[in-house]
Amino acid sequence: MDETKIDNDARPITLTKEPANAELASVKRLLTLLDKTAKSSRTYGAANPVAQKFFQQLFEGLTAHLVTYSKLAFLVQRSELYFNGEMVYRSEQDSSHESVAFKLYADGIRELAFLEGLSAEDLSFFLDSLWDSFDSEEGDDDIVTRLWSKDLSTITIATAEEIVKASTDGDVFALPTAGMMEASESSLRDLLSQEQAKAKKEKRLEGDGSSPSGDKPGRFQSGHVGYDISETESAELTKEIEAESTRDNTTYLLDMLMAILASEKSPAILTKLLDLWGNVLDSLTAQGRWTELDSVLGLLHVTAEVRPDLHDDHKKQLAALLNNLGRLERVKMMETYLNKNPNATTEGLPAVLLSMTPAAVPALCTLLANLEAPAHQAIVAEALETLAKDQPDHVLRGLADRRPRYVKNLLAILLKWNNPRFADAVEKLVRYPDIQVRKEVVRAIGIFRLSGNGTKLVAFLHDAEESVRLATLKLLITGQYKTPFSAWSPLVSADTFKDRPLSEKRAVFLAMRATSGDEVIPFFESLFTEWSWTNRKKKEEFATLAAEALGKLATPAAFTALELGQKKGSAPVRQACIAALAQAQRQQLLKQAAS
Amino acid sequence: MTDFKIKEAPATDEQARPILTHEKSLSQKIAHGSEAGDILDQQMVMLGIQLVTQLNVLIKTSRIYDPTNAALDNPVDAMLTLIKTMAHDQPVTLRLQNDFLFLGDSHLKVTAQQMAVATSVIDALNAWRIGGVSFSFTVESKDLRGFAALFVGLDPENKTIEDFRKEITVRGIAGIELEEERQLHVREGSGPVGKNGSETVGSTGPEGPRSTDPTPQRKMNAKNGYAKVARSVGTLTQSARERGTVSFKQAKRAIQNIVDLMMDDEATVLGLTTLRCHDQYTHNHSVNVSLLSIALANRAGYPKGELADLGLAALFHDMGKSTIPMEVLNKPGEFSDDDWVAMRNHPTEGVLSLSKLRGITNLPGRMAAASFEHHMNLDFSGYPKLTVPWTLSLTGRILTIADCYDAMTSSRVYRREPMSPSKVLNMMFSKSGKAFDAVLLKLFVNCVGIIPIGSLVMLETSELAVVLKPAVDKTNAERPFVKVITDPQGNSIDQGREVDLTEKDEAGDFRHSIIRLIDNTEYKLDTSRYFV
Repeated sequence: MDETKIDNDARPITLTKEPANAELASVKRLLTLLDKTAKSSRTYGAANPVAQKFFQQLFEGLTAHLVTYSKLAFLVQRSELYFNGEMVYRSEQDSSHESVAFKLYADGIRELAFLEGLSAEDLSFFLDSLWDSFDSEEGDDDIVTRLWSKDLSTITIATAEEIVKASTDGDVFALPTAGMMEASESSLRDLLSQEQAKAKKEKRLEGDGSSPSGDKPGRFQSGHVGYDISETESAELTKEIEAESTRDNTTYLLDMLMAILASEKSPAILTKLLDLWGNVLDSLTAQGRWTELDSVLGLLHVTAEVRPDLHDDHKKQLAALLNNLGRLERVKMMETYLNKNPNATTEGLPAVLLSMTPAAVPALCTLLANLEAPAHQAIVAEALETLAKDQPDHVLRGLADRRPRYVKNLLAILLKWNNPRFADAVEKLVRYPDIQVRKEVVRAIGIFRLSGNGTKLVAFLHDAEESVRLATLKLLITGQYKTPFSAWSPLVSADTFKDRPLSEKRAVFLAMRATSGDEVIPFFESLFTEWSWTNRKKKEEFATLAAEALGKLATPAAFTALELGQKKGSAPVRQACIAALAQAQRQQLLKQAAS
Repeated sequence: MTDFKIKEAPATDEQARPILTHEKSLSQKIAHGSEAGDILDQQMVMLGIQLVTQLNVLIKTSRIYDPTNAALDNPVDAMLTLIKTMAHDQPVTLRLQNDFLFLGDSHLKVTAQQMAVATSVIDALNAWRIGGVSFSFTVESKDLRGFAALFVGLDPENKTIEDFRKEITVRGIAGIELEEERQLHVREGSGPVGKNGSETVGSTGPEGPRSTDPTPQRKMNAKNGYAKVARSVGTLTQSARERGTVSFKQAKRAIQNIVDLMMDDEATVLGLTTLRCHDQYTHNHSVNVSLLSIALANRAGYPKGELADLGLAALFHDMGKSTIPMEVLNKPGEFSDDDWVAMRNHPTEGVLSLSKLRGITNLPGRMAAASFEHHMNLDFSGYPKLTVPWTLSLTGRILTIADCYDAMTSSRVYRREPMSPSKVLNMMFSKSGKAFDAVLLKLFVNCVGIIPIGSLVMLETSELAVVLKPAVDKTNAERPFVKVITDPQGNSIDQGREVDLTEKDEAGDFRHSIIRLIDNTEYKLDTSRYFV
C-alpha cells in the first residue's frame, strides 16, 4: 500500500504559526490520522495490515486525547474540519469520495464528538459506517441512522438540519384539525351546560350517589382495574421480543407469502402474488439463498394440487413461473453471486438447478462457462448431465467454445453420457488450442468409439504435444481400430517424424502394425533396404523399429519382409530382423499351440 | 377491527382540507411567519438540488452574456419552471449556513457528483455573504436575468449585501429577496452532544437566543418530528404509487428522531396522536399508529434500536391502500361492496407491494407483519382469512391495538363517526383476549391512560379540562395530568393551567377530581388543538 498517496490526499492545514496549545495540536494530528485510517480501510479493507496499523495508532491517540481532555468535538464544513474555531483539517479535493470531511458533510453532519471511554469496537463501527452508507445509495441507512441504531454513548453527532430546526421558534402546525370536528371554542359554554344538565338527570335517576372514601362525592370512575402486567407476562413478552428479533427474516416472509398463496381467494391478488413469486425467486437467487429457494420451489410445485380451486389462468401463471425458473437473467444472477462468493455454501443449489426444465440448458451452459470455482462448475455440470441428456445439442455446440475449462467440463458431461454418436463432434477438437482438452478428446474418442476406423485418431499424432500423441497411440496400439496405410503415410514420411522420441516412434510403428496389418509391410520393407549417406543412423533406427513391428505382426508377409531384411539390411538391421524373426516364430508357435 | 358503516355528515370544503399533505396548498395549513413554515417534502428537496444546479448555470452564463442574450433563455426557463413548481404558497428559499445548503429548513444532501456545482454556488453566495435567496411565485424572466446580471456585475469585494438589495430595488427586480448570512451554532459547554442535537444545539440566527425552559422546545421538537415523519411517509407512499420504488432512508431518520423524543417525553409525543385523521389524503393516521406502537412497544420492553424498526414498520402498515384508487379512499358516501373488498384486501396488498418494492431479502419482517396482521385480530376474527395455521407476531398484535385505537378515534377512517378515546378504550377492553392481546392492551392503557390522552373531562369545579398525560402513579390512574380549558362558566381559557389530579391539599384530600368524562365527539370538539 502506498502510504504517501493517502498522505497527499489528506493533510492537516498548515498554520502559519505553531498551534496555540497542546489540545489543538493533538486534534490536528488525530483528525489527520482519522482521515488516513478511514481511507486505508476503504481502499484496502479493514483487515489490511497497514489499515490496522493506522487504526491502532488512531485508537491509541484518541484514547490518550480523551483521557486528557474527555472529549474531542469538531465541526464539519464541506471539506474542512474545525476545532474551537480553528481549521484543523482540509481535504485537498472538495468532492473526494474518500474525504471523511466530505462524507460527514454530505450526510448533513455538522458536529461529531468522540467521548471518553471510546472503545476500539465503537471506533471501528464508526469507520465502517462511513463507507457502508456511502457504498449503498439504495440502502436505508446513512451514517446518522447507523450510529443511532448502535446507540453509542461515546460517539455523538449533531446534524445541520436538526440545528436549524431546533432554532425554529414558530409552530409547525396552525390549528391542525378543521375536519369533521369543527366545534368552535365558543360552544364550550353550551357543552358545559348540557353536560351539567345530563349529570343532574343521571343523578336523579340513580338516586343519591355515594362516593368512595377519600374522594370527593361524584368522582368519575372508569371501572377499569388490573392493568398491571405480571412478571410472568413481562418475561413472556421479553422472550417474544427476542424471538422476533432473531428470527430469520426471509424465512418468515416466505412463510407469509406461502400462507397467502394457500389461502387467498381474490383472483386479482392471486395474479399479483404469482407475479411476485418471480421476484421472490430472483431475490433468493441473487442472495444465494439456495435452501430457501429449493423449499419455495418445492411448495410451488405442489401448489396446483393443494389449490385445485385455482383458476386456469393462475395455473398457467404458476406453470410459466416454474418453466421459466432457469431464465437467462436469473441464471446470470446465480453466476454473479457464485463468482462473488466462491466459498459460500452451495447446499440446496443442486436441487434448485434440477428443478429447472431442459429449456434452461443454454443458460446453464453459459453459467458453466462463466463460473470460476471448480466446485461450482461441478454442480452445474451435474445438473446439465441430467437436464441436457435428451437435448445435447447445446452442449455439443459448446465444444467450439474457446474456454478450455468449459470445454473440459462439457467433455466430462459427454463422457458420462457415453453415447458413440458424440464421437464425431468430439473428434473435431483435434486442433483445440488447449493440451488438456485435446488429451481429454482422445480419451473421449477411446470411450465413444471402442473400435472401428482409426483414421481420425491418426490425425492426433500430428499434435505438437507429446502426451496427446502418446495417449492416441495407446488407443491405436490396442488393435481395435483399422486404418489404411495412406492415413499413416503423411506422418511417417514427414521430416519431423524422425526427430520424435524413440519410444514414440516405436509406438507409431506398432500402432501402424495394429491398425493397418500387412498393408504397412511394403513401407517397413523399404526401410530395410533404404540406403543413404545422410541420416544413416536414423534410418537404421527406423528399420530396427520396423523389424520389431513386423516381428509382432508375424504374418507370412511379415516373415518374408524380415527375411529380406535379414539378407539385405545393414548389420544392425540384419540383427534386428533375426531377433524379430525369432520372436515371430515364437509367436507363431504359441498361436499354433493355442489353436 | 370491526368495520362500522355509519353515515357521516357531509364534509364542507373546509373540512375536506388535508392537514398534512404534499399538495401545493400545504403551507396554508401551517403557521405563517415561522421558519418552520416552509415545510417541504422530500420531492421538494430533490427539486432543490435542481434549483441549485440551474442557479449555477444562470450565474455562469450571465458572466459571459448580457441579460437579454438568448443564451440565458434555457437556464432562466428552467429556473422559472422550478420556482413556479415549488413556490405556490410562499417563496422558495435556498439557504446557506456554514456551507450546508438548505431548501427552507430542509437539508439538501449533496452527492460527490453534485459537489462541483454546489461548490460553485456556495462560493458565489459566500463571496456576497448571502445567507439565502428567496424566489417568489411572481418572479419573471426579466427579474431572474436582472438578478443574475447584478450578481456577477457587482463586486462583492467593494459592495455589501445591502448595496445589492438597493440595486435590486432600483432596477425594479421583483420576487427575489436576499437573506443575511447565518451561522449554524452548536451550543458550547453543555456536556455531550445529543444524537438528535436537541439538547445542546442552538442557533445564532436573527431570532436571537431562545428560552431556557426546555418544555416548549421539547414540544416544538415533537411537532417537528411528527411533521417530518408525516412528510416521509407521504413521500414514500407517493413514490410507491408513481415510481414503484421505495427507500426508507428519510423515514428511518425521522422515526429514530421520534424514538428519541418518545424516550425523552412520551406524553408530549403521544399528545400529538390526538391529531386525528380527518382525511384520507393525510398521513397522520399512519404516523399516529407508528407513535402509539412505539410507545406500546417501549412499555413491552423493546430495545431502542428495535423500537425504530417497529415504528418504521407501523408507518407503512397501510401501504396496501396505495393500491386503492384515490376516488375510493376519498369517496364521500358509503363504500360499495367492491370498495369494501378492496379495503379488506389492503393488508395482503400491502405485503405484496412492499415485497415487490423492496425485494423479499430486503424487506423487514416486521414491516410485512404490520401490514399483513394489523386487521387479523388475536382470534383471527378479522381479515385476511387464512386457511393455514398462522402465528400472530408481536408486531401484528401491537399494530392491531394501535391501529384500532387511532382509527376509531378518527373521523374518516372506515367511514365512521369518531369515538371519544375513552369510549374506544372501553370497546377495546370488551374485546380483550379476543380481538386484542390482553397483556398488550394493559400496557397500552399504561401509555395512553385509563382516561386516555385527549379525553375531555369535567372537574368538580365545573371547569372543563383535557387529559394531557396519564398519572405516573398507577394507584391513582384515574387522576391524570389535565389542562384546564374553561372556567366554571364554560368560557374558554387561553393557556389554561396544567393540573396534576393526584395533588393533595394540607388535609390529605385531592385538590381536584374528575366528576365527569365527556364524549367530545358528541359536540364535535377536537381536543388536539390543546396539544398542537
